Amino acid sequence: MKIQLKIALLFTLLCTSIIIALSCAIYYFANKEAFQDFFVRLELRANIAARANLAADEETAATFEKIRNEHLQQLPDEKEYIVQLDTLNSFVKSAVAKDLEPSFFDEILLNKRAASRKGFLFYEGVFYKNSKGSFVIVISAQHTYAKDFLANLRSILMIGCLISMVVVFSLGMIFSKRILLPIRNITRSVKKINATSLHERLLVKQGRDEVADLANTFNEMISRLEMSFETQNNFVSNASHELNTPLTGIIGEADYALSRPFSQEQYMASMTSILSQAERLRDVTKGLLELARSGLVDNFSMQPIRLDEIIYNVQKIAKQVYPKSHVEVDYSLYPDDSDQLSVMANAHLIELAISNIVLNSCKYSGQKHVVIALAVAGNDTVIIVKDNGIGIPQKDMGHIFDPFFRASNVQGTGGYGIGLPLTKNIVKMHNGTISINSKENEGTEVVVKIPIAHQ
Amino acid sequence: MKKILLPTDLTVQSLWAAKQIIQQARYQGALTIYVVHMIEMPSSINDLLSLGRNRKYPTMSPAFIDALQILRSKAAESNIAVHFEYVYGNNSRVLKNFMQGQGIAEVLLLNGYEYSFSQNVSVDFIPFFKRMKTAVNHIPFNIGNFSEFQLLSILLNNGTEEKNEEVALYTSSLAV
Repeated sequence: MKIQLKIALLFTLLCTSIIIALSCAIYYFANKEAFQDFFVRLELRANIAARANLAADEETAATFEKIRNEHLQQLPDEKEYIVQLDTLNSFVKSAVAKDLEPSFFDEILLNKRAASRKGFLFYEGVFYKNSKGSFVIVISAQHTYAKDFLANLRSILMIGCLISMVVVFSLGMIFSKRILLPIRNITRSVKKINATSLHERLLVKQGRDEVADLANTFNEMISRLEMSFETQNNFVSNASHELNTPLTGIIGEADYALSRPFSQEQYMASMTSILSQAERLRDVTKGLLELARSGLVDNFSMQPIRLDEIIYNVQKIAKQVYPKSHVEVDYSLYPDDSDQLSVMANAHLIELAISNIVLNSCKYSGQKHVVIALAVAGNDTVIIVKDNGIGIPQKDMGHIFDPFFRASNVQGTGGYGIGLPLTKNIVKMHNGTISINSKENEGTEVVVKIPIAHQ
Repeated sequence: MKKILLPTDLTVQSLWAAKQIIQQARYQGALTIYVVHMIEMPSSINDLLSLGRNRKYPTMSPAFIDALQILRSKAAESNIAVHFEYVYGNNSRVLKNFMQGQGIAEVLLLNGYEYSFSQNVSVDFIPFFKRMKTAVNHIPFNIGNFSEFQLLSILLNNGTEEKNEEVALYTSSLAV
């Protein structure tokens, strides 16, 4: 059963039981309390009957008889019994009084009047005493009006119950549909999202209700899924990109060594170069593995490292990869206290990130100067990389961190559009930020901030 | 202790002079640089009483904040303090009062730099210095040496400073 129907049925059940209970109460109290005035009428008739029949003088009796005949309309089934107190006991036992409880007569004697009812047959008894003796007058009559009224009320209440049941059920269906509408919308949106459209998000309405919470939670979950998907998807491409550079170095070195016979020292030098490149290859593989794992677990090895050492290494790498480049380190903002250059980081990854930036600068600035600087701003270590290269066109600035995106002015230069997204991921993993400012044909400035490790 | 006022239009360029002083004034004794930006006095009574929440301050770019922090940490090493202050008001008397209060003896302006006070609440207070008796020093700043894309890298050595004798002369004059 659908929740919508369940809600509507529950709502109907609840409302209908309340309405039925209310109707029963109305019927019960109308039946019990609404006809008290009839007893008063019967009592009046009993008193008049007593006086008409038992008045001491004939004249008074005749007058009452006249009033009764002229003004009092005969009630349906109206009967009157005038019983002398002495014969009351035999009257009580007689067939006439079979509907009446003995307590009825006790009450007449005690309170001078009593009322009783058997279905719609109403009884009223009064005690009358004069010079002729003591009498009990009992008047009985059918209350046909009450009978009709109650029958009417009963059918109104029953029809009302049925109609309200239908109305409540329809309203319940409408309301539950409305209540569940946002959830149905979420279901519809979620159905649309699959492995190839993980970038889509659910529309979240403003507010802090449960459905908005649900949608937000969904969106967060999709974000996490998207991140790990991306990490997995990009891993092969990242790996090939990052492994390519040292491999090219190894192949070049080996090619050169095989091109003609060399002296032993020269071979040694070649082998040393190949070994260092191979070591770098191993480190990069390790780092990439850690990056891939970082999407799933966040316990990759972090230790305090000195950023100036990293910068020194990066400068060396840049010289190896782009021998014609001019990479300078600007020491003018360099802090005296070298502790402030210590950050909690994974050395391989952070080196990978910074070398990506610097190598990009070298790649796109030809033989122009590339400046790396280190500074301290508050609780962050700031790495500034400035080049005077081809820059990034303004319209591409919004996409530079998208995987596989390459700016429109880099045609003819090798690359996969992996370096910057990877760098951003690594910087993010180190709780840092990266910002890029650039102007086409003038240059680029990259600023990376990483929190200082506090001892 | 010497105190210098350095007007700023909340750009990294306007902090360039501070960098030069910090770099060259090493071991020359205690110095305080007041980086000052002037903004309009609040006009509503609420703001006057409580500097309320709706008070509009000029927006500082993240690069300016970073630059200020970098300069502050760097300056501390050479016993130089860098303070950033807003001065409320729009006339030279307020500025003069502030300078007297802080005991500032010198103003340092960038020659050849066009200060731009484009934000609503900012006041162009550079002309006020002309009317003051306080010593106003100018050091040359060639905006042509810098490119539009440069933010924090303005504070680096861009290869021109060494030739800038006037800067060297000025900073050496700061020696106590």
